[in-house]
This record gives sequence, C-alpha cells and structure tokens, in this order.
Amino acid sequence: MESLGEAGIQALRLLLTGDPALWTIIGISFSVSLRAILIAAPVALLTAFALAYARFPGRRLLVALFNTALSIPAVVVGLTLYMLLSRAGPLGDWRLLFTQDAMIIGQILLSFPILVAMGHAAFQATDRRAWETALTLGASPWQALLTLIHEIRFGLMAALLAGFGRIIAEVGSSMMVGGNILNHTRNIPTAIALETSKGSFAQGIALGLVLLLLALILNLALLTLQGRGEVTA
Amino acid sequence: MNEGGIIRRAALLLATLLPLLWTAPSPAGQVVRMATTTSTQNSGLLERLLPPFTNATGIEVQVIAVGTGKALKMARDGDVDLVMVHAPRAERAFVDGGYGIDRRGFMENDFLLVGPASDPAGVAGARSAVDAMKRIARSHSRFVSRGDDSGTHKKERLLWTRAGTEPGGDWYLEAGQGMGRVLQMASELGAYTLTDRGTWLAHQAELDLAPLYAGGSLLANPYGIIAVNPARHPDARYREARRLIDWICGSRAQSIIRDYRVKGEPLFRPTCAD
Amino acid sequence: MNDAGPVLAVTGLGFSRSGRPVLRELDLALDAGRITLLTGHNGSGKSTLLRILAGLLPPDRGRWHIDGTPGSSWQEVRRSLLQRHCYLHQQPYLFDATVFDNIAYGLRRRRVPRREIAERVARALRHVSLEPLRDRPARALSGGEQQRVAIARAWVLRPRLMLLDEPVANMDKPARRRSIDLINRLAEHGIAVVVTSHDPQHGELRIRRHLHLYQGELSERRLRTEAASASH
Repeated sequence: MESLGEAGIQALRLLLTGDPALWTIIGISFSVSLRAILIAAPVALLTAFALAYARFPGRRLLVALFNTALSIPAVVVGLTLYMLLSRAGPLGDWRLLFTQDAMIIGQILLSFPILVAMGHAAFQATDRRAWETALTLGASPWQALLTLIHEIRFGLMAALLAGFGRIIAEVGSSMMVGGNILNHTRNIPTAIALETSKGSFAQGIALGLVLLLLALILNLALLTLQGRGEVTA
Repeated sequence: MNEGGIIRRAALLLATLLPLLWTAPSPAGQVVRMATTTSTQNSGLLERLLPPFTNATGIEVQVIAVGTGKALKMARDGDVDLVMVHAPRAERAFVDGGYGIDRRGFMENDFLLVGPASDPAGVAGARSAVDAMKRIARSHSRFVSRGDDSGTHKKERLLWTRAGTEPGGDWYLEAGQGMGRVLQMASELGAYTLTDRGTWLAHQAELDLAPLYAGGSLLANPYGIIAVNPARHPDARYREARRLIDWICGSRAQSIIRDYRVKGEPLFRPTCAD
Repeated sequence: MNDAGPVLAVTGLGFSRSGRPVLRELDLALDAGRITLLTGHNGSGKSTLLRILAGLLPPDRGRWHIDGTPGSSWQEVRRSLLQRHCYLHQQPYLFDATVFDNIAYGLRRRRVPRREIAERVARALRHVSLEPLRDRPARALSGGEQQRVAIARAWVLRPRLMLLDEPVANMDKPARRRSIDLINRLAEHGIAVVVTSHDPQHGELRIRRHLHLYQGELSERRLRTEAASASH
C-alpha cells in the first residue's frame, strides 16, 4: 500500500501539472456547491430571521425540526431525492436524475438545515434593540434586516462556511442522484469514492488533499472579505 | 454603518468565482446513458472502449457505475438507456420480463478463489470449484463474502448451493462492501474469498493473498449488454443504445477487448463471435 | 419652531399584554419644545408607552392626531410615528461601525445626498462635542459618550418628538450633567421630549410637565422638581 507521503506528493503533482481531468472534477465540485449555496442561503437566512424574530405558533417546534434535520445522513437525502426523480417516481418527467441540477437540489436540501440552524442562532444572539434602533431611525423593515445582517455578519459567514463545507464534501447524495458521470456529475467526493473502490488510495488521498487545499483558499478569501474581524466591546 | 460596502465586496468575490459556475460542459451532441457495475468501471476497460465509439458516432456515453441489482433496477425504471452487467440469470429474467431487448454476450472473464498462501483448506488441490468450496467449509477456514447481492456474491451463493452447504458460523464473514475492500479485508484477516479477475489484478500487488483456484465453466463471468425496451419506455434512447451494442460487437471493439491488459495481463475474452 | 398645536395627541390609547391591561384608555397630548417627565415604578408600562409612541409597538386601540392631522389606520399612523419620532433605549444600541457611520445611519436610509450628510453629521458631532471621536468604533466609547452619540444620531434627523427611556440612569455626575444639558437643548430646538424615570432626582433638567403612570392610568403631577431646581 502506498504511503501517505507518496499520496501528498501525487496530490501536488496533480495540481501543479494542471491535469485537465482533475480540474474538470474540481470545477464541477465548486460549480455545483456554489450554485447550491447561493440558492439556499437567501431563503435559509430569511427563514432563520423569521424563526428568531417573528412570533407564531409552532415556531419552537420548527426550530427543533431544523436542528434535527442537521443529523439526516446525506445518503438518505440522496435516496429520497432519487426515488422522487427516478422515471418511476412522481417527478420522473422532470428528467433531472443524473444531472448537476439534481446534485444541486440534493445539496440545497443538505445545506438548508445548517444555514437555518446557525443563522437562527446568530439572529437570536442579536440584540432586539438593534432592530428597534434601525426602525426608529427611519429604516424600512427591509433596510433594518440588512442592518441586522451586517451586525451579525461574522456569525452568518460562519453559517455559510459550515453549509458550504458540508456540501462540498458530501458524497452520499451526489453519488446517488448525480451518478458520478465523468465530465458531468463527477465531483471531488464521488471521485474519491471511485478511486477508493478501485484501490487507488494514493489518488483518493490526493483528491482529498486537493479538496482541503481549495477549502483553505476559500476560507482565506472570506477572511479577507470580512476585513478587520476583531471583536469590539 | 455601511452595508453597501460588504455587499459590494461580496459581489466582487462572487464575480471572481463566477467562471467556476459554468465550467461543466453541457452535452453538445447525442447522449446515451449506460448503467454498469462498479467492477466493470474499475477494470478501466470502458475508458479504452468508449472514446473510439464516441469519435466514430458522435454519441457520448454517460456511464453510471453501481451494483448489479441497482443497475438493472435503473434500467427497469427507465432511468438509463442500456445496461452492461455480468449476471446471466438476472439478465435473462430482465429480458424475459420485457424490460430489455437486444441482449448480447460480448465478453467474459472469470472468477477465482484467492486466500492465504499457506492454504489451510487445501483449495489449491481441489478437483473443481465446488470441491474447493467444500474444503473451505469443512475446514471452517475464514471466508469473506461480499454479502451485497452483487454479481460476485450471487456467484458465490451458487457455488455454496452446488457444494451442498449453507455457510454460517464464525468463519463466514459477510462484509457488505465492494470487491476491493473485501480483498483488503481477506488479506488482513488471512481469509479466503471469491473475486473477479479484474479487481484481483488491480489489487494483487498490495495484497497478502495468493490465487488458489481458477478455471471451469462455473467460474466463468460472462458480460452482457442490453438495451432498455423502447416499447416499455418510449423516451429511452433506443437508437443510440442499439448503435453502441452493435459497435461493441464489431471487430474494432472486440479487438480492443482482446488486447486490453491490466498489469501486463489480459483480462477479458471477446465472445460476440462465439 | 411651530409652538402652536400639540406635536402629538392620542386619545383612548389601550394596550394589554397576555390579557392583562397595561395601558387603559389613556389621553395624552405633547407640545413642541417641552420636556415631559414620565414617572412610574418598574413595570408600570413606561417603556411600553414610549415604544407605542415611537411606532415600534402596535396598541390595541387609540385615535391619533399627528401634527394636527388625524390618522386613520395603524399602518399609516405607524409610518408617520417612525418617521417623526425617535426612541432611545435606556442603554442605547450603537451599530458595529464608526461614530460617523452611526450618526449618518438615518440620513443614509432617507437617501440624503452624501455632501449634506457630511455637513449635518459634522454639525451634530459639534452639538454633542464629540468631533475628535468621529472615526472611532462607536462601541469602544464610554457609556456617557455612547449616550451622546445616540442623541446626536436621533437629533440629526430633526425629529418632532424624542422619547428617552431612563436617559441619565447609571451615569456618573459629569456624564449626567452633559446629557441633561443636551436634552435641554433638544427642547430649545423645538423638539418635544419625553423622559422616563423612576427616580425623582432630575437636577438641571428643565421639566415643563410631570406625568405619573400608575395601574395603566396617567395622572398629572405638580412640578416639585421645578421648585427644587429654582431653589438652587
């Protein structure tokens, strides 16, 4: 069996030589997961805001449900979606099975509970005075919401990163509804699963390191976006 | 306070990421979708076999590799246009049930029994595959089973039935994993297992196992390719599927299959001419 | 400033929380340029009344006249209240931004031109003597300074009515005097001011009227404080 060090060297070589097959896989991974998070985030954050600020019956139950949904395995989401999207299933006519769109739907479903749960926690930690202050200074509810988002931007950024982290690395749903089709629905995690089943562990680890490296770059990019993130008393 | 600033910066970041959102090539020309088994994909043959077909016909083949049972279920549900598996009985049932047509047996390889080089059960000296299974059962030597209802697992069940034993007990381990993982487990545990030759050749070098028994018609592993019945699924891409089947039984593809080597050893025997 | 009619008049104002009446059919009129002291023990509903007058909390009932104009729906009343009145929390909430950005907040939301914002914020900063702190993170300021930023942030919007919840509680003497001085100047600018307190000590605050909230009802009180401050 190849050593880990060998795998690391192979990972670097793969990245540096600009292996086109690898970059296609990386491209698919990020394209799918970014689109998923971009669609999921606005709806999820509005939901989180409503759960934190609105008073309606069943609100606490809903929060509990979203927290529970955090522990749904990706495979179960994938399987459920598969059964819906299969030609034999109720949504078969949409012809979405084994497409990137199906992967995106799966990843939206997977990231949504994280975004809501973490977003809810962030909104709940806000001071109610912030909302009232914005309104009394003449902000519209929509402007006040933007202000609130700005006040808790670090918490929301953390929620986005956690959501993105889950879906960029999930294999269960993507494998099931994407089908791991070369050049179409093969992303980094399903490629790792494939390499592992082939016994090419070094290749699998190499892909894992690639994922790690790109996640690191993304995190650093967001860090600079946050600007001075120091705590102000 | 200026949310404008953070939104502008987010937009900037988004703009730099935007190219990533459209990297995936959309299928330009004709496409046909084929379900096959993980071991078929892992053999590496398809990467040699399919690009010449695409070059010749302009039809792109999208391969989805899953277990045998799931591959056939996908074909039955019309989620793919054709299926390439190695489970003759299940294939026959699939065709007889009216789900598929135009089945061709286009190549075969074989299964072999592997185990620790010390061979405590004496499998190497067996007179037949069935005899080898009897020896393992009699000596209660450890055996790792796929246990996943795959083609290989079905073959193993058949051998046990022929040997007149119902395996069970401490020595019989059902892994529920793919062939590669099962070979690794057998190697770690010093156990016997039944494997297809393709996976064996790919993993052989890193395993502490020896090939102990091979040969005989019972251990043959014939591959079939079947088109989804357009009468049952009118929107299946039957014409493209049919062209792929015909091409695979053509002289060009058959010689690619004959010449294909894994770690220097031939793996498949083309059978369309049989 | 127009000192003629009341800035705000409301009659029959009622509000209850979980079935318990907090405000019972109050009548209230507030005049421009006057400071009204609102007292009452803790939990008597002072903050609730202030929030309703600011448009932050919908009452159950009430007929409104805002600058002499009768309001019809709460929706409409709420919009005018939010635009004309400013509410300050006992401990004002400052946004996670600079002093300048905090004071400019309301002006930006009203789409005031950039140059005018700079001028008005500069004037407000001068008004509360905080010019040197213009670019400091607002949350790094002391409690008294934060209070003044909050007053400047409201004052810059030229509100008709300012509602201050316990503005001088928990402050040391110098900070307290500065705040009281500022509040007096708000009234001089023609702004109607309501100040709540559960403490009868108001020092130099030029109170023109004293209302007491007890068991959901308002009563007019004589101005003991005026006599007290006059004797100094």
